[in-house]
Amino acid sequence: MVSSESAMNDINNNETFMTPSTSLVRDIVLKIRSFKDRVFGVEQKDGIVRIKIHRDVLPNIVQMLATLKGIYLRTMMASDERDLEGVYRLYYVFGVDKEHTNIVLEASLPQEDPSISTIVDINRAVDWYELEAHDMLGIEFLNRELYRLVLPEDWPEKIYPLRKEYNISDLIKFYRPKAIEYAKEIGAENIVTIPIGPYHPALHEPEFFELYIRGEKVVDARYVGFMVHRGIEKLGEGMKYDQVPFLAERICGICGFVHSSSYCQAVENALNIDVPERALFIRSIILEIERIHSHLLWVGVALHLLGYDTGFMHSWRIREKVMILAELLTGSRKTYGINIVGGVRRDIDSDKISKALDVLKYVEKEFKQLVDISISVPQVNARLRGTGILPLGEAIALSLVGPTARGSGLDRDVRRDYPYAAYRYISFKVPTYSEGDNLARTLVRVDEVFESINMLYQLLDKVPPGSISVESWEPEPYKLGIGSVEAPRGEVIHVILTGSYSPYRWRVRAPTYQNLPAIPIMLRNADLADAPLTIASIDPCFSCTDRAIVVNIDRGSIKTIPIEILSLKGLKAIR
Amino acid sequence: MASLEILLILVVSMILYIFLPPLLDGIERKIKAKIQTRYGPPTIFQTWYDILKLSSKELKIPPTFQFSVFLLVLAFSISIVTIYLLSYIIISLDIYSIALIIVLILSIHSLIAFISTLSSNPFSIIGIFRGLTIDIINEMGFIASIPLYYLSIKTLNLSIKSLLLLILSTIFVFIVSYVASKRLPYDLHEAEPELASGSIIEFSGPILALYLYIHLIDRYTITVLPVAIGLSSIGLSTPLYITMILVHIIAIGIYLLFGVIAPLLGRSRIDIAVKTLMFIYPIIITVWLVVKAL
Amino acid sequence: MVKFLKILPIATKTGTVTIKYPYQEPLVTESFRGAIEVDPAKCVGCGACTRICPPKALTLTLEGNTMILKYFVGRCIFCGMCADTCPEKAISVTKEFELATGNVFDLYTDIEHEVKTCSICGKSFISKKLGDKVASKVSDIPSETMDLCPDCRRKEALKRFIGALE
Repeated sequence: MVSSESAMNDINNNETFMTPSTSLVRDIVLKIRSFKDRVFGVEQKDGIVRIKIHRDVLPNIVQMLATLKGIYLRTMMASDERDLEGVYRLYYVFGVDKEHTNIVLEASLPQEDPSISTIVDINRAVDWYELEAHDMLGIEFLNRELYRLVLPEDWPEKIYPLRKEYNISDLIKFYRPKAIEYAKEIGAENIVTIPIGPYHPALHEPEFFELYIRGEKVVDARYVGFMVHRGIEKLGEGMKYDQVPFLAERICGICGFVHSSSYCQAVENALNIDVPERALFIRSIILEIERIHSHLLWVGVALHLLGYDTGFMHSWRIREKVMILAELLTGSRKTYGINIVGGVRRDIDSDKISKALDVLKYVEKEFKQLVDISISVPQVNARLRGTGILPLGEAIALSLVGPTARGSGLDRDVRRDYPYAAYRYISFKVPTYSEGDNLARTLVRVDEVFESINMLYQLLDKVPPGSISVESWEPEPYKLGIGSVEAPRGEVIHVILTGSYSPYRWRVRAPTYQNLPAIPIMLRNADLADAPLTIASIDPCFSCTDRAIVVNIDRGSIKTIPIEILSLKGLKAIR
Repeated sequence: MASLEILLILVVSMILYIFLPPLLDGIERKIKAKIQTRYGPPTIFQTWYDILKLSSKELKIPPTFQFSVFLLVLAFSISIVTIYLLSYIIISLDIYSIALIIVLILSIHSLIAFISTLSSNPFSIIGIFRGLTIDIINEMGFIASIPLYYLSIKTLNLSIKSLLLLILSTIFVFIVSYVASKRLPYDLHEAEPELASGSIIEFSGPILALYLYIHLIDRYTITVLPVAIGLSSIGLSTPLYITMILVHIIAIGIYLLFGVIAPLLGRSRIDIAVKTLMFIYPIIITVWLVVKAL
Repeated sequence: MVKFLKILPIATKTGTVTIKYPYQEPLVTESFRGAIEVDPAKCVGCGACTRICPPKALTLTLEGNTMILKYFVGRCIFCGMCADTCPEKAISVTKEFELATGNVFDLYTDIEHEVKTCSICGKSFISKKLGDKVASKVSDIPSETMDLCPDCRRKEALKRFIGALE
C-alpha cells in the first residue's frame, strides 16, 4: 500500500490520495483515476470513498461503472454550496454491496452555469433524481427532456426552493397576480382557493396513475406524484440537530422510525460519534418491531384488495398486539420519538423484555396459521400467482430495493450489505424468491416477518449493559455523512452535510421513490383488476386513482375528461 | 281448507317476505362480523334502519338516470307479484306458476341490469360490464336449473339414479342462487376497491333505499324458490301453515349458510369467474342429462 | 383444499377483540406519553424547553412586565423532550390524551413569571426566579452586576476595562 500511495502522489500534489483497502473498490478507484486531470481527490473514511471529479467526465465514469456487477445507484443529492465555495455540487452515491462501501462521486458546477450532461441513458435509475435536482435547485441536465416532477405544473420559473436565498414572499409575488387577474375577470370579490383533484381530502392519498387500457388489459401506465411535497428537506435545514429526528419520523406514517434512525446514523457517520452498544441494540429492536407491524399491515391490505376481508381483519388483529408492545417499549404506538443523535432516549428493562417475548410467540403462532389459511383461499391463490411480473433484468437496471427487488431474485438488503446498528452481532437470512410475481413479493414479506421474530429473539437475549446515549457531542460544519437503513419497503438512505447548529443540506431518499418507476413495467399486459394489487405489492404509501383519462388506441387520441363533464354528458363525452 | 285460512296463510307469508329480507341481511352482517372477530352493526335490525334512514334523505336523481325511479318502482311491483306467487305455490304447485315466477324474476334482473347501463361514469362502466357478464351467464344457469330441479323432484322415487339427479340439481340450483345473490366471490359488479365501481355509486337517498330493498328481496326469493318447490312437491301431510313456516325456516337456514360461506372466500377476477361458471354449468347440465338418459 | 375453513375455529376461539371505548377503558400502557404539565412553582423561566421543542408548542414571550411560558397543546407532539431538558424538572409527562375541545383557548396554558428590569436601561431581560437561582448557584457575582441586562453589563465591563487602563 505504501508504494502505490507514493506513486499516486506524483499525479497530483495538492489533493490527498488514499488507497482503499478492498479489491473491487480499489479497482474502481484506479479506473476512475485513469481520467487523470479530471479527478481531483480521493478520500476514504469508514465505508465512504469520496471522489471529486470534473463534470465533463461523469458520463464516462458512470459508463465504466455500468459494466461492473454488484454496483447500484443508491441516491443523488444536489446541494447549494455557493456560500462555501461558489458552486453547486452533485453527489452521486453508488453502493458496492459486497464490500459494504459507498462510492460518492462529487461534481462541482459553477454558479454561472449550473449544467451537466445527463446520464439517464447510461443508468436508468438516475431519472427522477435529475428531475428533482432541476425542480428544486435549477440544475440543467443537457441532452434530455426536463419536466416538472416534484413541483406542481404551474410553479413559476426561476424560483427554486432548495436554494439558500429562497423566500416564500417571492413565490407569493408570482402566484398572487394570476389569481387576482382571474378573480377580476369573473367579478369575484374575495379569493378563496379550494384545492380539489389529486389533493382532495376524500381520497386516501393523492396520486395519479394513468392507465392505458384496452378492454380489461392494461397496455401501459404512467405515474405522476409528489402532490404532498411538504418540503421536509428544507424544513430540516432550519431545525436544530436534535429536533430533526422528530420531523424525520413523520416522513412516513408506517415506517417513521427508519427515517429518524437513518438521519441519526448519517449525522453520527459524519461526525464520527461513537454510539454506545446498548443504544444500537435498542434501535435494532425497535426497527425490527416496526418491520413486523408494517408487513402485517401490508398483508392485511393486500388481502383486502383481493376481497378477502376476513384475512384483513385477522391480520390487523394480530398486528394490534405489536402496536401495544411498541407503545410499551417507546411511549407511543407509532411515532416513537426515542431517537436522538448519539443514542436513544428510553431504556428497556427485563419486564419489558419478557412482555416482548410473549407478544413475539403469539405473533409467530397466529401469523403462521393466518398465512396458511389465506394462501389456501382459492381466489387469493389464483389472483396472486403469475400476476404483476417484474423481470430480474429490469430490477437490476432500475436499481430497485426491498421486497420488490427480492421478489424478483435481486438479493439486496442493507442490513447485510452495509451493516448498521446491531446487525453485525446477530445472524439472519435474507429471503429471496425468483418468480417476480405478486405471490413472490408476498412470500418475501411473510418470510421476513418470521426472520424478524428470530432476530428479535437474538437481540432481546443479547442486549449489553451500558448507557443509552453519548454524554455530549460537538457539531462540526461541512462534513458529509451517509446513513442507510433497511425499511420494510426497502432501502432508506439519508445523506447529510453538517452545519454549525443544524444540517446544512439533508437529502432523504425513501424506498418507494426508487421503486415507483417499476410500476409501468409490472402493469403492462396485466388485467385491470390486478392493477391495485400490483401497485400495492411494491408497498407504496398509496394506491388509488382519481381521474379518468381515456386513450383511444386505434385513433391515437388522448383526452382528459374531468369528472363533472363525464357525469353530465355520459358516454358521449368519451366519444 | 277454508278459503279464509288460505287467504290468511297467503297474507302472512307475504308479510314475512316483505319484512324478513333486511332482517336476514342484518343477521348475516353480524355473522360476518363474528367471523372477523369484531362487533359489526349494533343490532340485527341495522339494515332496516339503514333503508329507513336512506328513504328520509333528499331525493336527488342523477341526470342520466331520469327514468330510474320509474324503473325501480316497476321492479318493485314485479317483486310483490313474485312474492305472491311464491306464497301461492305452497298451496298449489303447478308448472305455470313456476314458469311465471321464472319470467318475473328474469324481468326484475333485466330491469336492474338495464338501469345500471344508464350510468355514464367511466369508473362505473367497468364494474357494470363485469356485473352484466356474470348476470348473463348466471341467468342461463337459472333458466336451466329450475326446470331440471322441478323434473327431478317430480320423478323422485327411491332409485339411486333419481336420488343422484335430485342431488345434482339441488347443488346446481343453490350454486345459481349463491352467484345471483352477488356475494363474495362474485360481487364483481361493485367490486374493485379504489379503481372502479358499479352502478350503485350513482344512487343515493330514497332511490338507493329502493334499490337495496329490491336487491334484498331478490336474494331471498331466489333462495326460497327451490325450497318452496321442493317442500310443496313432496306432499307433506302437515297443515299448510306448518309447511309455509317450514319453507321459511329452511330458506333462512340456507341464506345464513351462504352468509357463513361468503366471508371465507376472496373476490374472483372477471376472467377467472367467467371461466369457472362456463365450466361448471355446462358440466352439471351434461352430467344430469347423461344420468337421466341412462 | 378446505384449509380456508380453518379460519372459523380460530375466529370462535378469539371472540371479539373490539374494545367498546369510551364505555370501556382505553388501551393505554404504562409508558404512554400524553400532554405535559408544567409545575409553576418549579419553573424558573429559563426557556430551555422552548429551544428544544420540535414543533414550537412551548414559547416564552415577554409582555410588559411579565414573562409568559405558553404551552399550546394543539402543536404538541407529546415527545417529552421538554421534560428531559428542563433543568429544574418542572415538566412532567401525564397520560392525558382526551384533549378535544370546542374552544381553542382551552388548549393554551400560561405560566407567568415576574421579570427583573435592568437598573440602568430599564429593559426586562430575565425572570426574577432565574436571576435568584443563578445568584444562589454562583455566589461570587457582585449584586450590582446581577441587576444589569447583558448589553449594559458589557458596557459597564468595557468602562471598567478602559478605566483600569488609564
